[in-house]
Amino acid sequence: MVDDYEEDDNAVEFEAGEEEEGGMSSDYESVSSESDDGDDGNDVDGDLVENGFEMETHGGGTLESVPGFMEDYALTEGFGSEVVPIDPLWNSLPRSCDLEFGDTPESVCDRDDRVHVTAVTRIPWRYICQLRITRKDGGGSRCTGWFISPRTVMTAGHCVYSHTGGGWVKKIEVIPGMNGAFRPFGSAVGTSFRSVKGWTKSKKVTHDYGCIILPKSKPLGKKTGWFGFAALSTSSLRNLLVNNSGYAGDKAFGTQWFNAGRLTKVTSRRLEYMLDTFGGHSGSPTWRYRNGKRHAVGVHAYGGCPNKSTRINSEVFKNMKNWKARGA
Amino acid sequence: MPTAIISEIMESWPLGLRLRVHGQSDDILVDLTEDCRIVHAGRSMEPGELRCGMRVEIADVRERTLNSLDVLAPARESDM
Repeated sequence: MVDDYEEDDNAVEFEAGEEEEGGMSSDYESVSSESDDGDDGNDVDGDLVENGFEMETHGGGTLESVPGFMEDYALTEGFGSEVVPIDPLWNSLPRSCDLEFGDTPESVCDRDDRVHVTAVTRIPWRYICQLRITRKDGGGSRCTGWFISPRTVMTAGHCVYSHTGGGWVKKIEVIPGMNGAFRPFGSAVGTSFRSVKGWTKSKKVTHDYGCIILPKSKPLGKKTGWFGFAALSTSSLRNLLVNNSGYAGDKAFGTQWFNAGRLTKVTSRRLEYMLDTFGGHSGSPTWRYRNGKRHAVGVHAYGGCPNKSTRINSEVFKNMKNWKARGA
Repeated sequence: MPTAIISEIMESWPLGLRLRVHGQSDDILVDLTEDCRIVHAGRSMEPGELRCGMRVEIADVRERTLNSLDVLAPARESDM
């Protein structure tokens, strides 16, 4: 007998456009440093873990620290870095352009302690991408994504398949490590998408995850590296300290915002927390940082305090492994 | 104006809302700012003020939206 969840986790895919070559075929993160508290805990039996690529993508060496020297530029020079002026239109959306946000946005729970990430060319912030989405109905929207392989960018299901926007989106521009006008790794347009039936057919919030497969000519993840991911047992997840960073819609366009905290509830398909997020964070990684390794455990998708990620359970993990291989 | 309870807030931008409409057994999905306005206590709500569980009124529904309101099975804890 086929379990409902298994059926709902059946992967579905969409290819559009000629430029697609993809074929069918914890610990609190430290925003300013790469600290690790030395926790040597092991994963418990039954945890599924896929490691990321968390190496520096240069050939070694360390830059001298010289006041005024732009390390971020030096680290990404030759990587197709771009400075693209912000089009005022990108920063506005229908009727939202003139909104004055209150002191307590809907998904900023209690005190807003989000931190602006400026070291976007560093690990892990450079794995995280601003997504500029053109929907099937021509409308625009924004989300966040993150690399799990050179060409696979994980995100929320509703960022690649919009039930209100006509279904599969037309295209998504992926901009890793974006910081305002600065695009340290350039950008790529994806037109090949994956999600699962549980989202595209059944519209279940519990199955809201998907990915973008970038064209073969644009393996941006080779420049940035990528997150690992893990399907952890409920006991491993309970009260776990997790990190989240994404491109918030209430802030300047293309700026990345970090928050962290404890998981407050773990169900079979979702993770809940009071980490501060906002519209635009959808698709961002919720990850565990331990022993110097980062493993995403959820795909952030919902706000409203508590805020929620789609949990990476064994079925989600299996799909992610396949999608990772597709974009390798 | 139809009344509804906000059951989920999708954090794309603009926000997507899942609404449980009073008198209907199913939920609908709308894009805030594109499909309708959300009114609470007589005042038009902005994204920063929305909460799950909030009882609201749906105002200025666009014709396109009326024709394509997506009827959904309500999310249940058993789904989660």
